[in-house]
Amino acid sequence: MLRRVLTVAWRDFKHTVLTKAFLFAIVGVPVLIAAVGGISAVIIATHEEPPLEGTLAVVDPTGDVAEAVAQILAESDAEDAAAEIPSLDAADLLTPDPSQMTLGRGEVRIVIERIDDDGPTIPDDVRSRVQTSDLLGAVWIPPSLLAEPTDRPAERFVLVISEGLDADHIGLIERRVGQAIVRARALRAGIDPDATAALLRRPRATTNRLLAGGTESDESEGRRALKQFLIPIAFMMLLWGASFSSGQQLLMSTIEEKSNKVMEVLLSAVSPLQLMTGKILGQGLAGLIIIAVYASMSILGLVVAAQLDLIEPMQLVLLVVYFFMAYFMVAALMAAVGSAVSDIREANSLLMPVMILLMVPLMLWMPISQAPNGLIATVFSFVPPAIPFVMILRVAADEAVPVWQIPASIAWGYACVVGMVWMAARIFRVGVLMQGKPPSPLELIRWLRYA
Amino acid sequence: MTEPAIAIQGVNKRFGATHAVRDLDLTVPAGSLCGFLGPNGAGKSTTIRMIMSIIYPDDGEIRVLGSTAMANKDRIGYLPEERGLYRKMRVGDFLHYIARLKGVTRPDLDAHITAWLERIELPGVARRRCQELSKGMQQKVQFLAAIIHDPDLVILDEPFSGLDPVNAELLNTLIRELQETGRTIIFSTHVLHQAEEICDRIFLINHGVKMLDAPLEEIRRRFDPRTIEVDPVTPVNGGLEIPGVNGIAARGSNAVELHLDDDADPHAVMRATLERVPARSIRLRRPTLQEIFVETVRAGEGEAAAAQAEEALSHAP
Repeated sequence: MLRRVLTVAWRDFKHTVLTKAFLFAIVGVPVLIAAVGGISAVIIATHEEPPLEGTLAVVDPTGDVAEAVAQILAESDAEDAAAEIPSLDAADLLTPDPSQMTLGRGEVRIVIERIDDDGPTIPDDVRSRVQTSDLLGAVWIPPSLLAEPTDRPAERFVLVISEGLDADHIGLIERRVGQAIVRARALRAGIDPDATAALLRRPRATTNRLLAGGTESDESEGRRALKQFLIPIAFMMLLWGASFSSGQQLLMSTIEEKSNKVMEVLLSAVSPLQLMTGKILGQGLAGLIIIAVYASMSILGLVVAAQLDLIEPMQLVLLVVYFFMAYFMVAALMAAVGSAVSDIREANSLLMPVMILLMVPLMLWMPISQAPNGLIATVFSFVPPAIPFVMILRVAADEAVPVWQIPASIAWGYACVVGMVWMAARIFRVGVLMQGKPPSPLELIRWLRYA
Repeated sequence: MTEPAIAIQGVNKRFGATHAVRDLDLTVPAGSLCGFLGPNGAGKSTTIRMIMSIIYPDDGEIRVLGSTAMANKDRIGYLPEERGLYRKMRVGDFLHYIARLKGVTRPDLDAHITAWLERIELPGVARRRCQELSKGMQQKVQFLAAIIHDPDLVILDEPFSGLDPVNAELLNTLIRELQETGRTIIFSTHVLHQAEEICDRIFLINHGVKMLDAPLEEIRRRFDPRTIEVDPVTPVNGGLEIPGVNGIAARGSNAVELHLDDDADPHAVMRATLERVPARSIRLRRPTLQEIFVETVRAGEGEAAAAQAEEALSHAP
């Protein structure tokens, strides 16, 4: 019995992992990802933006905005070196956001030329100078933008720019002029912009989580977001991708054996249950390679980023435990479908309900990440085939899962695996010898009753 | 007494409303070369699949090599009617895989495969992919897959289907050789003259019902038409009298058939005929399997069924 199962498993494993597609998936894709990541890092580290140099005309009869723009550009340059974390609060409107000036950007040397003109738009001679690139651009500030708030019909100023200016530099000028208008308004209203900005700057929190052992972990917001959302979805996608791609391979190889009419030759040597078990094991081993390669690559990424403490060894152990559970569930569904049809086109109609079932965990990612121990998470931790996917989301999250739920989900999940494989074996036994019109999902259920 | 290779008792198999095999009793002695004959849809492949434990009877019992086919899979070679190969697999790998599944553990398996490939006139194809072979070559590889593990019982479902005359003759020879080494061979066909050439035992089935199951010689004796065919040098005109002959009928333009009395000795009648009629040839007529089949159906199911059976056989490729 075991010899036959292992012979089938070895053939399926060998003929899956020695294909170009598989080798590309486990060698080519990681190399490609590493190469793209490495090249991007090198480009970011070595790339120097061209400096932004030239004259910007500000059509501003009051002179308030032109002066503010000049001051903001000067302050921005001075604060470049101190730039750290982007801030997104109201204070940015009054004082420039230094990070926006510095990240990946070259030197900015803009001279402001104030045009004292109270016409309804940018004068033609100024436009001509922009066209000939004598000026970087020209800004027209409608007087209404500096009026009392109730008198402002539209919050827009006009900027014309020379042809060669790139998108980053255009965005920079737009932001600085906008900030300058706010600053000018504040000054007109008798408000000190710097003092007001200091008042409006939102303080940051230092949050410490009290852990079970009495210790405290202090984590930044970014790390917390990583642990709450990104690490769990990374774990689940790893599980989903590996189990689904192996299940897909199982489906294809079963269909191949039926369409090549080699099935009956095999059934003269092995029973349908032995054949199915061998195929499931062979493809499962291939899936384990996929998950090992991608998990190793992810761990390497965390090591490089000095963030390895984001995951724990037990989570990796549970990843393997839940991978086999997920794979066996997907494989049971795929083996049943594969045995019932003669080609991949026929499989599509039967795959639809299977795919909907398998998409459920993906749809549950957000609610479960927000409340890893909430009602939805707890209920779906015991509903097959969502069990392994939901549980891996929960155990990879920051919040500890109640101790009893992990062994309970493993025990119940593997009991469901036995039930699903048993049902798949009954369908497989009837299906592999069936030819002609593919069965409906209801007929598949009827096959369960056949001896 | 040696245990039969196959013993079937009271087997029935239904597929929905179709009663594919009815109350079948059948014994295939060990070492025999037995033909499972009948038109398409007669129940041959269903019977074979039940023998192989690929499908199971609704009721009745099947014993294969003293037990069940499941327990003896490694001792049985099977060439199914619906047969194929892994298209992208190399021929040698495919045969190696099937041999391993059949429990072959010999260390010289690759050499064994190479020797067999040479024997079936496919030297040097072990490294070629199955899809690169012609249909006839693929069929020979499939046959080899059925016997690569030296089985005691070989079951071949329509083995000659699609083979050209040269390869059919090669297969014929191989089947005889296998039998000479003591193996039991069963092969099914709807082309009755193929079975007539090599079988020593016949199992005839029609509409799922066994019509005949006996050694070929016994069947021939049972259906002996007691007729002598004579091709005279000059046309025979009336007035010919031969002891033991109760009637003479023209056959074709010149030949005649002599119908014998029940107690007449055919050899004595042939000698007496040659003394009276110079002849180019004279022979004791043997019934063909097709005639036996039609006659059996006629006796069991009536004239309409016999006509239908004859029609089905005459359309066989």
